[in-house]
Formats: sequence, C-alpha cells, structure tokens
Amino acid sequence: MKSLRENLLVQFSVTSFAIIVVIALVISFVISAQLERNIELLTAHGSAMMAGMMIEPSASYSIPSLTNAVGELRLMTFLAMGSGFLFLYLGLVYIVRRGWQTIKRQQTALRQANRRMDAANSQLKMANDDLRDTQEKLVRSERLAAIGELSAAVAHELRNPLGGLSLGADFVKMKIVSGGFADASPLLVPTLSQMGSDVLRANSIITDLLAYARVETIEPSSIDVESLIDQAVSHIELSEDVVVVKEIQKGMRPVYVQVDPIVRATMNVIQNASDAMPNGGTITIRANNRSDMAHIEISDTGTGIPADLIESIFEPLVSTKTKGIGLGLPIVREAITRNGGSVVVISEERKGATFTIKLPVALASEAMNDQYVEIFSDAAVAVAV
Amino acid sequence: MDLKPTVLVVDDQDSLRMFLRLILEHEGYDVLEAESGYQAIDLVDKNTVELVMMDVQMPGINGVEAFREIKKVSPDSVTVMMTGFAVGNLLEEAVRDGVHAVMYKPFGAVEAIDMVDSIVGPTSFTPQLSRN
Repeated sequence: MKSLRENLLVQFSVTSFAIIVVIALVISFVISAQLERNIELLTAHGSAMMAGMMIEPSASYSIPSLTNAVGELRLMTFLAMGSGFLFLYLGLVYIVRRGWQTIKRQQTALRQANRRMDAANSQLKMANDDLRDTQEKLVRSERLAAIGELSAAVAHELRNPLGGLSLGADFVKMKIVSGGFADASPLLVPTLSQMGSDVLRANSIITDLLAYARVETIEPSSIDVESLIDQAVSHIELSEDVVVVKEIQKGMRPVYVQVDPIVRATMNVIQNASDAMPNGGTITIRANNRSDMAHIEISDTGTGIPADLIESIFEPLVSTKTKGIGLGLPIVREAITRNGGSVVVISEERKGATFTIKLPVALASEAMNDQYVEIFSDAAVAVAV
Repeated sequence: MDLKPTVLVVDDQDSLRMFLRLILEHEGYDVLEAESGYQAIDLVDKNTVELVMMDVQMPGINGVEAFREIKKVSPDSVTVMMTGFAVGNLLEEAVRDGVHAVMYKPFGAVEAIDMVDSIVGPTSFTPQLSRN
C-alpha cells in the first residue's frame, strides 16, 4: 500500500523529470539552431576565402569565432549526455524501486504464510493431543475389560487360601475348646505355619493382579545387559541340581529400559525355566546384539510346553501350575512390549523351551531413545514348533 | 464292618485338605485325601468311601467330571462339591446328575461338620455301605 507521501514524491519526480526533459529539449533545439547558423556562416566564409574574396565585417552579420561553435557543440554534447545519464539514472531508480517493492510484497506474503502455518501447527498439536488422550482412554478401557475378567478369576483364587485360613483357625479353636490342646500341640505349629503361607499366597495373587493392572510410570534408563541378567539370576533361589550357563557377547551395547520391571520379567522367565526342570537340568542364557536390539535367549532342558497351550501362553488365566491364576507370563510380555521390545517362545514337549527376549539398545540421545520405544512397541508372538 | 464312615477330601490346595482332615478326624471320621480328580477316582475304586468332598476347579479333570466317574465306580457314595466361585451351568448340571450339595468357600469348621454329620453322621439316614 503506497502512502500519501510516496504518491506525492512519485508525482513530483515524474513532473520535474518531464519539465527538465522539456527544458533540455528546448535549450538543445535553440542551441542547435544557433550552431547550424554558425556553421553555415563559417562554411560561407571559408568558401569565400578560398574564392579569394575578402568579406568585410558588417552590422548585418558577424564572423562567429570557431570557439563559439565549439562551445555550442560542447554544450550540446553536455545536454545530450546529461539527458541520457539522467534518463539512465531515473530508469535505474525506477527499476530498483519496483524491485524493492516486490521484495517487500513477498516478505509480507511470507510473513502471512508463516503465521498461517503456525496457526495450522498449533491446531495439529491440539488434534494430536486429543488423539493421544483418546488412545490412552481406549487402552485403559481395554485394560479395565481385561481386569473385569481377571477379577472373577482372582475372586475365586483368593477364596482358596481364605478357605484354608478359616478352617485352620477353626481347628485351633476346636482343639482349645475340647481341651485337647496338649495332645494336639504337634499339630498346631504346622497348622499355624500353613495358615501363614495361605496369607502369603493370597497376597501374591493380589500383587500379580496389581502388577498387571497398573500403568507403570517408571523412568527408563541405560543398563548393561550382563548386569541385568546377573541381577535377575541373583534374586532367584535355584535348586542345587539346576545349572545356569551364561554366554554373553563381549562388548554388548547397553539397553534402554525400565530397569526393575525388566529385571523382574527376566527373573520370571528364568524361574519358569527352573520350575520346568523339577529333576534338575541346565538353563542356558545367551545374549548378543542384532541390528538395534539386544537378544536374550533363555533355554531350559525341562518338560517343555504342550502344543495346545503354547498359542495362548502369554494370555492371562492360562497356567500349567495348580496354584495361581497364570499372570506371570502376561506380566512379562506387558513389561517387555511396553519398553519397546518383544518376547517369543519356542518349545517342544519334553524337550524344553527357549524364550527369546528382544530389548531396544540405548541410542546416542535420550530423546531418540524415547521416540524409538514409542515407535517400536511390538506385540509378543508365541511360536509353536 | 467299619464303624467310622470314610470321607474323601479332594482338593489341589494342600492347606484345605490338611485342615479338613484334622477337623473331621477330630469329629471321629476316617479321612482320605486326594490331590486331583484322577487320584480321587483311584481311591474310590480301592476303598469304601461314604462321602466325597470334591473341589470343582482343579488341574486335569475338574470336580464335576471326576464326580461322574466316581458315580460309575461307587454309585452309593454321596458327593458334595466345594467351590469359591459359582461356575454357572456346571454346578446346575452336577446337581441334576446327583451331586448332593454345593458348599461355597471359604467355609468354616462348623459348616463342614454340619454337612458331613447330616450325610454320614450318627443321626443321618444314609445307610452304611457294606464292604465289597
């Protein structure tokens, strides 16, 4: 948008330019006419001299000096060149102004586009946040549905130890009331111990459920793979006839995970391996780097997993044990996939099983690590052989 | 003939078996224990059992299936189911097939004794089984 001042300036320049041009033209016309006359006179005089005539100066005309003519010529040239340069200068000014105006216009357009992009960007951000909220709600409602299913199983499971406690307390009471306290005392200590373990069992059922239902908000960090495995192994009580063999690749890159849940998950898998070998055996733990993941293989020489069970072994409520509601492996899978890894099992009945846990390797920057975990949260797959 | 009726307690939970046995023995009954449906069928086959107290949820075959097998082996024995959770149709079917009663866990000694007394106790009307 041109300001009033700019408009006046333009009008003034154009007008003054026009006036100058007109004046220059007029002056050059007058002078060229004069020049022409002087040259004619010089020529006439020259021809007369050549013809040998002498021309007396008179009042009607004067012999113009050559200097006059030259002077006039010089003036003409000056005017011509001056006008030319003036033209050029004004032309350049005009071009530069136009160029400058274009640039300014483009700048304004760019600024507007930028502002529009910022607005679009913040809208996108809001939409993204909304989507995230919805996704979290969906995940949570899925969990709640799963929890509803679990609650039924948990309720049933909890009633077992409670049943034991109830009968145990009644038995002690009966013995005291009937006065047979003295002769029943060898039974009372085992009774009370058994009641104690029933309490512990009830508690472990509740702990399992909580672990499965809770949204973990522990911060992940870098941890050495060997250290992770050692921590897991050290927290398990293995029977004497179970041997643990470690084959860990030298110079493995550390992994980026929530340390406690992953250690617990690894413990669970190793414990399962041990439980599968009631008569002893070997647990082999192999670890190496493949592409951007750390592979940890835990193999046992135990009873293996039957083919009809292996498809659903990571689902809750599936258990080969008489006690418990089968939340161990689902919790393992949940912890590992939440950290951007995966867990797979291969097994053949009576030949043992191999669990392969893949965990993301720590990358250069924290931010990259978090992004990676977000993108690559996989589902676990169970493979039957 | 045996004066003391024999009760078979079938449950995969150790503490429940242990305490039921202690309580019923205190009341004067003979008690046998089984950890699974299969063990229970085996014991009924080899012994005279007047009353079976059967847990429903067990690994291997469940209590109702075991009950059906036991009925074939020992049709005069009485079975009472024990469960912590109403398993819908399963129990209805069991009762229709001849289960005497269903007890819901957790129950106390008094409830257990009352139930056993009512079936095989001295004042019950269930005839004593003769040995094979």
